[in-house]
Amino acid sequence: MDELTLLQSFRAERDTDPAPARQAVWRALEARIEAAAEESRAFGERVAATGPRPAAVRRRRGLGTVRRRRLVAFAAAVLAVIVGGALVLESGPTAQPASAAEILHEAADAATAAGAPAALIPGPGQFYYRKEARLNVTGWTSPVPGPHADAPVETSGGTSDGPDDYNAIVPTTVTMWTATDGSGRVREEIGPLRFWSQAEEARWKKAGSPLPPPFNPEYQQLYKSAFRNATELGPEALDYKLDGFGSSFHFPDTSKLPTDPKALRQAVEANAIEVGGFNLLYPKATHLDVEQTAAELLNVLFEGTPTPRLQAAIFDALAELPGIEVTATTDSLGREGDAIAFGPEDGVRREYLFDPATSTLLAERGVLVDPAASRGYRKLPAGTAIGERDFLESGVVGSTAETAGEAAARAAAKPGSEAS
Amino acid sequence: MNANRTDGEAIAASLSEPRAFGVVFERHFDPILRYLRRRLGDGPGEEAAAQTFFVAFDRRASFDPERGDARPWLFGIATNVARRHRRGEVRELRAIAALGSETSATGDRAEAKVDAERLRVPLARCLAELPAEEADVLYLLVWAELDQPEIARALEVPLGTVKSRLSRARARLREALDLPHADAFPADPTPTRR
Repeated sequence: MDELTLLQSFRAERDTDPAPARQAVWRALEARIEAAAEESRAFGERVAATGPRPAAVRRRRGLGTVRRRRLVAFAAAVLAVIVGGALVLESGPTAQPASAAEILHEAADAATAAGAPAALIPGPGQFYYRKEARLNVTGWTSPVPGPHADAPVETSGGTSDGPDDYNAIVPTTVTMWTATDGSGRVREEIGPLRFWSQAEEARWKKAGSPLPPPFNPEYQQLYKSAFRNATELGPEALDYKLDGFGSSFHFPDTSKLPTDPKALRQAVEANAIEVGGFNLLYPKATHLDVEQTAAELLNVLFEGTPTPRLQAAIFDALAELPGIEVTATTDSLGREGDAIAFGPEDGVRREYLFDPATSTLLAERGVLVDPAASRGYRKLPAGTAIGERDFLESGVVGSTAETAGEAAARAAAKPGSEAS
Repeated sequence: MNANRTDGEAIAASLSEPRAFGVVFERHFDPILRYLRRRLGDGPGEEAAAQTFFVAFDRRASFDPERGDARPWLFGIATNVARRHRRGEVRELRAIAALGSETSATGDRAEAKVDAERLRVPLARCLAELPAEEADVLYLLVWAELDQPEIARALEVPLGTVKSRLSRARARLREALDLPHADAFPADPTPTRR
């Protein structure tokens, strides 16, 4: 098997019946085509007309054209909802609930008060450190099928129902050290599995308590190439070296983004425009809609390493978006916070949790709200967090053996530092 | 009669007769959808396919009817649309690489192939780290089933650029997957079209 053949089979399961999508897209495209045909016909009539039309007639024709355009635009927007998932945030001039804006502005104030700006971009010889607690609904098989069996050994996209299958919420702690060239280290540790029933847990114990991949030694043996950079390969912890891929790795550098909320919003919108494909439903539009803008701002928050000032600007910019909603909640560790939510899409609502008192990011997660509409979670109760990442600690450290706390203590102990 | 028009003729006709564009949609929607689903997943892939045809229709005046086949032009638009989702695309590939698993599009276990599973983690990891322009060439070759001159037209770059990007991308893949070097394979890697 060469690399192109392998790529041909990669995600082949996504090649499903195109007919439903074709019909939905055609309906929207047809509306667009009809609107163009209408315009074309009107243009032809105007060219063919001899002498001026009565003003009243011209006004009526113009009004009709505008109304049709709006209908077409609405049809296209509805399509975006159908094929791209629901858009929860309202666009348009709807007034934002004061409480949400207040909470987000308070979070911005908290970010500003958090301390002196210090971008978390590692320098030479340094690493960006992040520790997360994760929960994932996982189904796995044991004994692991042989290398040529026509079945996978794990699915994280739903539950499994075979006689040798087990399903549980799998908690892991993942610690990452990443340098700007992509090299570094990852450590994964597994916690106690959480089953949905005592009977399921008893069945699993009777089978010898086989762990889910990648912690299952059978799986590690079968897929050796995936573990070739492992420095520790135990049943409860895995440790990998990341070798990076040279200059092709791009560390998220947010240091050049403006820290004025309006300028920041314009910058993320302009960035989206430059990337291309921006607001393709309305190519002449000059602004992202609310959902798109919120998504861009949250991406900076979650994927970049913003300074406190930039973090404040992100929350201030989110606060000014119309229709955005914030709800009080707790993460899987019991930490109280507020969540900005999107969806549901395929029965799952995405939530981004932060601590409003400190503006610290707490978690992101997917919550099953409509099991019947989901792809693989129909047997799970609504409200289940099918995937969650709780952020525990981050910072710039001096080696792949150091934690953020240790790096901070080392910096504080340095001669000349405030703490010394 | 409309069904017999070439893409170029249909698009040219659609400038004064917009409904003529329907033929282009009928001919090319399915492969565009397949390509974008492979890259982005079901929901985002379908949305991107819709956006591709909206853009194509709105910009149909820019299509040169002399080109005849609209496939490279449409895949070029689709690739531009997919770039907007690049961040999510890479995030998902990194998740596969980190976790050794992938959210199944169908949840149907029987559809997966274990031969591919064995190398899926290092493959995903390499794809996540490929420069976007190299990934685009690779995906257009394998998933869109365009040949190299068609990829050059789709991306509006010289053929030599396509060849060099493809060569670099394949070398990275082979290294990541511990596969033999290029001279072990045929010179023209274009897959057989379905």
